Amino acid sequence: MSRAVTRVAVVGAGPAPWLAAAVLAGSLAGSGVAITVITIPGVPTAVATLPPLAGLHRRIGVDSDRLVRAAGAYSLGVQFVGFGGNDFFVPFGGHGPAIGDAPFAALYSRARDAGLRVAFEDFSLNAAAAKQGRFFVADAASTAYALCDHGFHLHGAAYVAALEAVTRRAGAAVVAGTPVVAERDAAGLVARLVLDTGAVIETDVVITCTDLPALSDTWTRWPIPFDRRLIAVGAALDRLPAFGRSVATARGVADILPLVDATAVDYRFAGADDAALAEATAAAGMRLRVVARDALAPGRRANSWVGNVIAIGEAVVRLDGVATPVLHMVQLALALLVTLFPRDAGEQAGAREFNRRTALAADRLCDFHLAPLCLNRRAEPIWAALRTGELPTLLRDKLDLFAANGEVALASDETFLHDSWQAVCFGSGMVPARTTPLADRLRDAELAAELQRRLRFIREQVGAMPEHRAWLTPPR
Amino acid sequence: MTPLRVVIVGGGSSGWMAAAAFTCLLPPSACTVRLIESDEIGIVGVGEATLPHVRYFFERLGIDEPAFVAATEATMKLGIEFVGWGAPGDSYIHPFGGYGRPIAGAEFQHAWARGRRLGIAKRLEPYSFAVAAARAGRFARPSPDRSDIRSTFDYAYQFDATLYARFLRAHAEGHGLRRTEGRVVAVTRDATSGDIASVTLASGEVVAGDLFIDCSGFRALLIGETLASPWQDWTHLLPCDRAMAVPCANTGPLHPYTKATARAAGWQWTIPLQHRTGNGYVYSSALISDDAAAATLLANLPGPALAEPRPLRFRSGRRTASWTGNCVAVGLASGFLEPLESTSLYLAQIAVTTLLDLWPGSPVDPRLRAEFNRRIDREYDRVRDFLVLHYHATSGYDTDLWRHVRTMTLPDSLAEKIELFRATAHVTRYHDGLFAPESWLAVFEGQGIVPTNHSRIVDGLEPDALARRLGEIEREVATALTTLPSHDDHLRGLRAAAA
Repeated sequence: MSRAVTRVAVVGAGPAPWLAAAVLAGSLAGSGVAITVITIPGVPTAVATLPPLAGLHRRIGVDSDRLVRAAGAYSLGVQFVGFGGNDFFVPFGGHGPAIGDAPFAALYSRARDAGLRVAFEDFSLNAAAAKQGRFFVADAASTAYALCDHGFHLHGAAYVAALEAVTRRAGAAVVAGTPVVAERDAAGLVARLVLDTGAVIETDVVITCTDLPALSDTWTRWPIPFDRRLIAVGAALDRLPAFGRSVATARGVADILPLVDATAVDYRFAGADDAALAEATAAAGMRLRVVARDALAPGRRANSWVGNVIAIGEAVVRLDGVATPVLHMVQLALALLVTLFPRDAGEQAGAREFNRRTALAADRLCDFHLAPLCLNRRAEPIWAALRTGELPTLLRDKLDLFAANGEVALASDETFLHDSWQAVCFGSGMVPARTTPLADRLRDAELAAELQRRLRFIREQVGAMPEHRAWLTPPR
Repeated sequence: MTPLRVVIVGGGSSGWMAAAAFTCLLPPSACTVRLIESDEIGIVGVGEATLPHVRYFFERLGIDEPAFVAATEATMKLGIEFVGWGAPGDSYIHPFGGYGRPIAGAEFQHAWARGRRLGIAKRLEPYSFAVAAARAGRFARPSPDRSDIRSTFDYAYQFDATLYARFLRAHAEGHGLRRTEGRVVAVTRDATSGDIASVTLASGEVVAGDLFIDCSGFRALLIGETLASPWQDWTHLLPCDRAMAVPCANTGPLHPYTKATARAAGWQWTIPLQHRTGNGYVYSSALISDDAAAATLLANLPGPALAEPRPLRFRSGRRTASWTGNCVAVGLASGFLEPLESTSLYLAQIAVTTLLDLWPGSPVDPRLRAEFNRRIDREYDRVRDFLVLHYHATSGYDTDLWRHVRTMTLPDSLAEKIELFRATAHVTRYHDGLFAPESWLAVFEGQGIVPTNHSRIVDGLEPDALARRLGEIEREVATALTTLPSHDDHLRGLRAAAA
């Protein structure tokens, strides 16, 4: 029994369903697919995005810079604070080019073994600019040095409003309500969503960014002990940083997202709520107002596409924090979906590939999220347990290899590549036991001179950059 | 830090690639390199056709293209022509290049698949610049301008493997490599670690080392005979186990591609070089005798034979651990996959460059070894799947061999890939290793695996607009083609540059 897909319901709260609906409306417009967005109440205070999202914004007609200027901020990377060693920066950019056959990370390792007292991040234009309150958009000079990119911190409500506008313009219908019943046809496919308002939405495919009665409920748990979450806001920072911070506390991590007119805090921790606000306040260094508290169970749904229900974003991945925005998972899912979108409601041709790739990408994001946690040097029992606990195999292998010779073993479907892993590993204080002798051809003096030249280049570049806040005043 | 003592056992393409890379790219403080080879032992030397990666290897080593082309009688290679694979009498080229351009924001094959169903698209070939150039016998280096259709391909070489080994030897010796003529008669292992401590030559000389590179070919003197690293057999997937090779004289213009022709008991390669053409028949010994294979080969040469056919025996499969203890196998000692997609030298190259990235000290850090074996395994598995696809998606000969490969159980990784393409026209891109989606597309389409569907993104294209766009791409290819010199002229130019 076949049912052609002509109607798609996209369900969820926050930006994810709008992103999905806008992309699908644009891609499937000529294919005779009508899209209905079912919006559930709930808008995040703030959203941190990874650099690739800017491309998706362009495609659907969202002006990222305008959004940032109105109520957001740019982000050149994430600073990790209080993990027991030195603070360190994971920039959205590289750390400088190879010299001949020698990768920069190997040269850096070698120079440090020889006594260089400069952090890995000091070779990142992004990190240097961010730490001095500056911001920049990559130009020829910076790109010749390293790929330099940026993400955004967006005000949740403003972002959702902008996405809603483009989605409506793209022709999607919008209904407010929460699905309470999913009715199936004789083939077992979802045919109708009944909302709490009483409205009934007929559909051939359901894309959901939230838990639904129709979803299978097998989850893979990730070894992250934080099971509670506190969302709070504080005042805007005076000298507005163009980066997020991930601050470790005695029993959790507080992510701090500066915005032009506020500071958003997302604190994930283990145990009782009592002291959470005080801990978040200390981490942020400012008075905070609580917005929400809820439970957290970090993990991934085993199968995201089952029957004619396709889960994306938070319906697949429960993992928060500025370094691992769930919106990136939405973007990856959409790239696959537009290629594999079914013609028939029961069609499963793309489901296996979709589920396989989604799971790989999510697990690799989780690995990256776990890395700074398990490389911590704090004394508290929860942190000691993270340090010694069992890790996912690929993460264990990756850290082992880095410890052995500073190489990064990238797997399939990684979001974060060499530079990001090197930033976390060096930043967390790992010292590779050896490096490839490809890095040994340069003479000591030549290497030292080259590194000095690079540090000078970064100083000069950053010195000429405007303050971050200057970028946020509307262009004249 | 004392330099690592590296001992390479065996010359040939693999041994000399390793030797050249280590001596050219690593400083003397890192290692001393010795290569032991015996002039008594011939080299297999079938790997005459390569993949574009070999050019990047040469670039790293500072090898000059005209000098190399002159020294090895090399020709340019734009891809492989497969004759009679999908069905008897058909032919397609798997190019080192892509097809068309993205249409409506989707990869080309989606609009193309829709066009096929509407009856307005041709087969894939006319949309590939590399295929057009190969068919026309023309060649030029790719354009650096990404908007130019002449930038949409890459190229490799076809060369004389014996001359290649000799060329790399001169290059390595020029960088100070120490070569020792001799035959290994004994291998001594460390009593505690089990690592190889030294090899003893027929002359009585004992060569001690910290890291041993086994380039002894099929014999696998160190990794197999000494260390007994287990062999994973893939004969059930790739049943051919023999090859008969013979060179013949050139006749007519040299084509800038390799040819693989399906035959009743296997397939035949044709590799044009400047001074002669390499030919070989890869077959299953269960089906025909060596004499019958030789007769078939001699009856199907493009020119007069220049020597007696030479038989080779092999077994498809690989070591489960190419790096065992302090011994790294490179080339045939590590594994064998028949030369259908010219991957032999690529696999040797990857072993060498991966070892450079994961260079050990003494004793070997097991974490480096584990990562090396993971990467090499992945490469072998992927090439295996791709080769199996060629055999599987066929319809011509009705011999035991072909019936078996058509009906055998495929590795899951391959079965899923085929199924996905058939159902969606989508091919997943790996983050590393062979082969790119364009290559899978070429073989799928060339051997009759047709997508029954395509991305819905291209549904909105008006048929007229789609036909126009496809026509434009085809004309762009055809027009650009006329600007290319012939392959023979290009080779003459390179010869002149080398002189």
